[in-house]
Amino acid sequence: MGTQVIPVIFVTGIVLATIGLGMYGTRLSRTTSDFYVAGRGVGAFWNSSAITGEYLSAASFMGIAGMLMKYGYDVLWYAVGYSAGFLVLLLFIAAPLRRFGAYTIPDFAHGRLDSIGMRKVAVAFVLAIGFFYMMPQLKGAGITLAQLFGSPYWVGVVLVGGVVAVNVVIGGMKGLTLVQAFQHWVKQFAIMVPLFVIVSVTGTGVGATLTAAERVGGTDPVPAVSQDLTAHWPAGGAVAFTSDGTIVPRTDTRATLTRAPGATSPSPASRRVTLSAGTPFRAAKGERLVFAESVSATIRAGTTMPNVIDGRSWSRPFGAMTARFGDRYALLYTVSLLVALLCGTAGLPHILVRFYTNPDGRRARLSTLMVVVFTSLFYVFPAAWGALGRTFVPSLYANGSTDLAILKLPEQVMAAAGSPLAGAVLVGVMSAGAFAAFMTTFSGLLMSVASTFAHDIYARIMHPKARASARLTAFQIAAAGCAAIAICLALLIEEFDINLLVGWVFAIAASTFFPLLLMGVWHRGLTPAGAVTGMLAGGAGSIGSVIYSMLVELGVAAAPAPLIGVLTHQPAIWTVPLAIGLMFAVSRATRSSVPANARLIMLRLHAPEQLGLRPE
Amino acid sequence: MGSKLDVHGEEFIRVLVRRQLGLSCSVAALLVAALGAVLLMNRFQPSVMSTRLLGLPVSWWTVGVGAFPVLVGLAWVYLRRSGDFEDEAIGMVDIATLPPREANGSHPGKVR
Repeated sequence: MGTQVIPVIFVTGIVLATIGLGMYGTRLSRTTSDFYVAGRGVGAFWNSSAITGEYLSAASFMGIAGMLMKYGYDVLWYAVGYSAGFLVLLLFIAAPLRRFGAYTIPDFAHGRLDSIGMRKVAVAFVLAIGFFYMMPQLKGAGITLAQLFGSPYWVGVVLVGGVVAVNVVIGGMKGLTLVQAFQHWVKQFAIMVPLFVIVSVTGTGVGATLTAAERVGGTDPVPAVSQDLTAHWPAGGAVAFTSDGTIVPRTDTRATLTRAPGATSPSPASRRVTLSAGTPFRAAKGERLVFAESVSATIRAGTTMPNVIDGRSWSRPFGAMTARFGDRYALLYTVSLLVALLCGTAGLPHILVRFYTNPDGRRARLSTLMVVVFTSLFYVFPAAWGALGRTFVPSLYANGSTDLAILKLPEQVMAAAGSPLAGAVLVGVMSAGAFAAFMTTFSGLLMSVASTFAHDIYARIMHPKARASARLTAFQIAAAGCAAIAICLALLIEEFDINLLVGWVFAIAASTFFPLLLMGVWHRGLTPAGAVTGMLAGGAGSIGSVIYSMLVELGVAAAPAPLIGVLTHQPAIWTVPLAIGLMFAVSRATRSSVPANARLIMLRLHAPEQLGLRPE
Repeated sequence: MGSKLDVHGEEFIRVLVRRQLGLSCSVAALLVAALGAVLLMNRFQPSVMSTRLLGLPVSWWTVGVGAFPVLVGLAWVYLRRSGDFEDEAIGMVDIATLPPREANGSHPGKVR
């Protein structure tokens, strides 16, 4: 019992440090400009730390390791893609966006195309992306706290949501810059140092770690459940039996039983079954049970650990994740995922708003370069956590909770080495890192959504003559309101998968804001009609695909043909070119409505500051 | 560059946008080529990519480790080149066409 207090201390520490730094930052924040974009005077190192801090969300800190543990090699592309997204941002967006000099993306859309309609469309997508992205962050907080302290799901959601809302309301962005820079380094420390401790305890090098992970379900059999394992599955949760096994549900539950191809049985490939409370259900090798409702159940000792894919396909390219619609389409799936990650980063509103805090275009480039360095330093580590997780905490496979690998691994390894105290400290460090991840990303998103309400909707569309103090009040009310909405939404989505949600947000951002910014910055002939058509088509295509895929995952819609499956599960490969192509074609057709000041704006976007062309 | 350019003229903005976009596209092409090469090797030369170096297959080295220095290297090259080009662009401008400056500002044409 004693050691369980240690992670609580770490989590309390990170929450208090967040509040303290936010309040300290507030004293530096005075004007509206300070409030929104930190007065544009933040140094490159701090700004890069803050951007990276804001970017590394629950999906990066917990999700990549968890997904890699589950699916293997293919997940490495996530890490590279998340980092490479900033290279694309550097190449095409960073300096011009800073030189344009506006507070928010809707400001850019409005100013670049001289159209209030553009502002409204951009506002709609900021809100859609923002709320969509906030939910999985809060969900991560809920399940982590539930795991660590056995608290109900809503406690973590409300705690993290509430702390961040208070910080944003009182501090604005100046407070946040400090907080986020600090939390970035907390995350970097947490993903790196405990890993070194664990590796020195297990005594495995890089190659040996991978070989050990590969051997699970490869040359060695998948381990059997050593004692009865009780776990919770959300609706849609699956148990894939790799040998005959027994599961006992606590409550009556409906499920679908499917049979892997090749299994010999007279029963049809897929049928509905009802499991009765307390009655053992025998499943045969190759059978897969998908629960229609959330359920707690016990897997009997002796059953081979379910849901573990074989070691060979785990360690090879084009495995279970990318070949989910068949090996033929695995390359297409990977490429489309990469398009979403590379282009999506450059379309995230909460990241883009940070570029206004650089003093000039060149320093915007320099801080983006530093972000590429910082993210690279971070993203080499999650894979090692995932590989170690496969060897040391296979019990997480049972109900698909591999996202918790980074919390469970230190506990398990250190307990086996006879030092549970050290294990508790490491779990504390990892929990602090996880909380830093939820809080930074959530606060950045809340900031961008709330400033969209206060700045774009209230100050620019509703009351253009509102005074600064009225705008600040509007911002604070918006921040509190948006946090409350996000908390309510997050309470409804306990059963959805974090990683899938975040990957889909990238696809939506890549199909809407990335094309707008790319074309807005480089194509002088862009017209409002072209930009709107492209964004709406890209947005409709990507959001429609995402919703369709969610319905398929939940079993509401029928599974599509494999090619359609790939193109809706990872839509970026067609939605991004569609949006860009439509922007180009429609702009050509509506040539006469190119904004009159387009040339001047191009000059403002691209001319170096030293020429003194800007009034600032 | 023979005669200097009017900062508000058609030619200056065209040179500025073309050169910068050309540079960005070249670096992006290198990125796509690097990622594409790994993807295609994974698909069509799996035995090469599963060769082990120091215990780790080439496929893991390239994506899990090697990709990151490549990203940083490309970013560095772009940062240098784009900065150099901007200095060059400042030198192309006819100073007489620039807007007037405050008395304490350094002369724009002489920066760096």
